[in-house]
Amino acid sequence: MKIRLYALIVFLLFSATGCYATITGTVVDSETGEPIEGAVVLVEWTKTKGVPGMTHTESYKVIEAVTDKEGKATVSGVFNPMVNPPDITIYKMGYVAWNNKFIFPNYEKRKDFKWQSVYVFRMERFKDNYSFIDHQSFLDGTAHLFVETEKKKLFIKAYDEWERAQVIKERRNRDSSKGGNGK
Amino acid sequence: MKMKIKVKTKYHIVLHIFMLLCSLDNVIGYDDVETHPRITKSAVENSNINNYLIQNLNFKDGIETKIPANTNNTIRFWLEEGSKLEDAPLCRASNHFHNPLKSWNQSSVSDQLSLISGWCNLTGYSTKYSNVTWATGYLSPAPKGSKITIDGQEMGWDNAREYYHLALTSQSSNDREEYFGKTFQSIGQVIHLIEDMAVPAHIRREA
Repeated sequence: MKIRLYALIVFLLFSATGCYATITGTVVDSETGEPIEGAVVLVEWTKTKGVPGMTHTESYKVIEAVTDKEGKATVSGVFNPMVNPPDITIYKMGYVAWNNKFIFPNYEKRKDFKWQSVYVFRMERFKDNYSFIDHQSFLDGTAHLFVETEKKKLFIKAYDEWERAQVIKERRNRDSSKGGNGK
Repeated sequence: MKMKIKVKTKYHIVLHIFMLLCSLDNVIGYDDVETHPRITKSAVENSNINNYLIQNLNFKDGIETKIPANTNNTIRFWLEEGSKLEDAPLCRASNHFHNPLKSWNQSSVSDQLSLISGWCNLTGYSTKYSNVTWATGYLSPAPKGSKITIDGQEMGWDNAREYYHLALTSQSSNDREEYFGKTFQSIGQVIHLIEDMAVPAHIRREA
């Protein structure tokens, strides 16, 4: 009986971590369903550290992948029951970043994501009324762009090529509309 | 029969623990690494610092200016990083409390566990300063208040001013970049201290 009990514990632990194993998915445009080539898929595993009441998460492992012509990308996973479920963030110029936990722009919790063997990630086009500054905050909270930057080179490069200049421009416009004199 | 019930109970306990573990979610209110940088980002966005940097210091990209230029570290990064690093090492947090009803030399943390207090004594944080004193060096309200230099505090308000001065006057561009980085990091660390003053436990001296 004891063996069965231990087997159950081991099974449950490994089934939990197995869910976060290999991530294979297709990235598509949410309107047209067309595959998106060249999207950067960033997967980051974290570990919770600290003492109860004062905990924080630290990056454990980061993997990047770029989608092919068919919009497909695969990221091999981490088999460690002590790590948290990974954050998946997908980035492509002209689109809102897709994240497995939160949805831009209102930071709603994503409810349509379940751990499975194959995924379809639907990316929404970046609308004119969206704010690049808000989107930057969203990326800060989801992709943690200031942490482990050496391992997020593709993601940061893609961000720098498109959005950084947009954020700077939006701040300038915002500041000039405020009429501040810089003092 | 009794044996079966015992086994069933064990299975139920294991299953319940597993279900509880699966339903756990992070609450980041106490997560100093996540929460402080986010509040700092919000404060920075709502301030005039971006405009100030462009107009007065000729940083054309404002808070997105990279320092040093060949890295990914923007001014925004240094501010957010500073607000994160004020809790590193953790014993720095012994100086993040201030009871406004007490005089400043008695308003520091009062109920720190002796184990933690002992540990902090060993790691160079034996004196517990008030948040305000830790940030500014003042022992009583400025401008007439007395002031001290705190050993181990290299990222307070006065330090930020000193780094700023060095960033503006240093001869080499490497030094200027280094001091600008330190300026914004120390401002971030002071912002952390101000953020803590919005937390009830921090103004009741309750660790």
